[in-house]
Amino acid sequence: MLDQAGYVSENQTAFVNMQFLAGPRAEFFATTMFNRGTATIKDFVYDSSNIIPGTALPAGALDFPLMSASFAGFSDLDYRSITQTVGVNVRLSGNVLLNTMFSISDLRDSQPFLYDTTGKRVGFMAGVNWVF
Amino acid sequence: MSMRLARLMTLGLVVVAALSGSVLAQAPQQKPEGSVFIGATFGNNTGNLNRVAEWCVAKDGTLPTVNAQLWGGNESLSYDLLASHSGDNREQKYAAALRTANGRLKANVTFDRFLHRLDHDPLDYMDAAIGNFVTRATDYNPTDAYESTNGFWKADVELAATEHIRFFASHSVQMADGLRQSMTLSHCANCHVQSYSRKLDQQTQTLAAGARVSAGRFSADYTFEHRTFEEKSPTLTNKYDNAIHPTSLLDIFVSRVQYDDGNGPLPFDLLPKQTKQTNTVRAAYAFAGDGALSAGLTQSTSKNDTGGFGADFMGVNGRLTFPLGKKAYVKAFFRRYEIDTDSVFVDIVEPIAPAGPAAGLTYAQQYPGMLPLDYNTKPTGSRTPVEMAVELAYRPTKKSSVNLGYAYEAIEREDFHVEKTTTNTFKGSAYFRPAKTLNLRARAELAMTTDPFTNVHAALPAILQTTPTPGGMPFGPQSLQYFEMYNSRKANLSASPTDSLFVDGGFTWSPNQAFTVSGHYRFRDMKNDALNFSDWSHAVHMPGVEIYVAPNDRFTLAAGWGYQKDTLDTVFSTLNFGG
Repeated sequence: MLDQAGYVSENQTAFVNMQFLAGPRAEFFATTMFNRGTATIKDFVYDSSNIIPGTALPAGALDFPLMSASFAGFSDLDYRSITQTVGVNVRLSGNVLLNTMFSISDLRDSQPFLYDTTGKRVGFMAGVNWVF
Repeated sequence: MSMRLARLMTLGLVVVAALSGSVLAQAPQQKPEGSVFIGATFGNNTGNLNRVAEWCVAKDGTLPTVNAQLWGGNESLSYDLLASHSGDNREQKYAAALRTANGRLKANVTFDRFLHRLDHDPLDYMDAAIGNFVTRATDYNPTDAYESTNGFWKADVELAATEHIRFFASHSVQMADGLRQSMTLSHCANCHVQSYSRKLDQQTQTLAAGARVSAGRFSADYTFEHRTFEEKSPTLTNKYDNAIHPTSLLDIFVSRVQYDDGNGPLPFDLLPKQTKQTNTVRAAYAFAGDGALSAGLTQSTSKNDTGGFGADFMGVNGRLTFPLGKKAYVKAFFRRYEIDTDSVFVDIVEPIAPAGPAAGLTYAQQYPGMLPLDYNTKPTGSRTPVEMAVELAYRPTKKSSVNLGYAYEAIEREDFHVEKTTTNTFKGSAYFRPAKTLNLRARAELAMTTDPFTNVHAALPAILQTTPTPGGMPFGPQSLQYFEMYNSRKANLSASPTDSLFVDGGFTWSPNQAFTVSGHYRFRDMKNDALNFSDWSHAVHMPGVEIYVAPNDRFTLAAGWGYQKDTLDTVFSTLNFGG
């Protein structure tokens, strides 16, 4: 059986990155990243007229509507991910800085392919940087 | 990565650090510069991390973090050292660069290690049955998390022996250790997918050495490279299911498979040891003015040491650039290479059916129409591509430029259905700056291919049996056999275009230092209308925009948006066959 069909995938990416110097000792920064990706099979229709012309298949041997609906859905993808980071760097002295950063990464898998990859990580980093 | 190698690498880094310190002690005093970061990361994870943290450790909990950099030097010595450790051995990075003897001796060492989370297919969608006819799966390690830790080591040194001669050598190791999913399949009486955890302990080692000579306008170099790949963890084995008739469960199907439980445990997912040796010679001559001529020759031999077969590569290339007055120049390019892959003899195992209509016979004895079984593979990878291109660059004013080009490519194959693929490509691009604040750019490319790479007779078997054989017994005279079905395929398939168009337009507008906006739109349209049962096309739209705003010295903002839409139109073919 065969059918001429389409596979359409769309992907959008956006980012915003900001940096703000709050006085001589402090720097704030923030980055937002967004990504959305989808994919699906389009116009996929198996039927007895255009697939096996002139053949007399036994009744009920092939369930064309079920095959058309389920086969196309096997390839559906729908991911959305957002990553947000915010942080502040503070100069504690002439050569010592305090670096901090908070981040959230969130991925939503609305059409799991094999398995659900939905996941989230919340992280915080802090440390002292000595520059010499 | 083995502990021995890890110790060797650590020792190497210590030696480099000690060497730089030792040399530093002999050089004129200069205060080194650098930084040391000591901190910690705190993380909380939920759900699956295979996408959200695919390439990082992202440990649930707390990890100490240390980063350090040290650099400095003077005219006789300079050094740049870096060390970074995330608190987890799977994520670390080191680098050391040293220049001494007035720049005549340069040495670099880097080691980078990072994590890659890998998929674990749960196989929980497999189970299906019609009576005894079963499709099923067994995951022997359902709770294992799959990941590989990838390490990259590289050390290179270059010595200027004289003003005209330089010697260079490098050693690199690419390592992957961890665990990944490995699957194999039993046929008859059921389709049984079996999944195991496979240990990884892979090393790709590359040793290279060569020399470079230069005299006036002429320069040339030669490089020899030896590369090996080895998987040191043991190959998995699987005992396959007993091959029996799927519906009746009678033991009459052994002649239809190559192996079953009677063969005991058999290896699968075997990664062969591989070796590749490459010789490269390059030469270049710069003409008076802006012209230049360069040429190269590459010869390599690749071998699958486990299987005893391989491939040879021989390629030559040349490039010529010469000016046409003060506003234009011409670039010409030529490349020809030949890939010759070995043929492999495939000896088909021919078990004898113990019972049933084929009792005492091999499959080929029962169906002589399938003969011959044993064969030598055709080296379909062997090919000889020839590429030629010429480009004219013209710059009428300082604010504009125009490039026009033509490229020709022919790929000849001796042992493949498509014996020759020819592509003619026309290219053009332009740049225009109508005002100091505005840049405009555009380019287009049109390619036409005759006989693109195609899988001939890949799909759509003829309708040879329209009603199932009673009882699902494939032994009757009317029963269609697999080889008959495959031999009747008619449709050619390809994902390579006969016609391809690419256009790209963009602008950058920067009215002042505080604001810049740029945008682009790229479009690619490919189609293949030379297939016998279907059409193939692929269109891609890629718009994007970026802005940069800096209203004052204290605040900056950058933002961007990109979009890509791929539309593929092709044939979907599904086989209705139960053999």
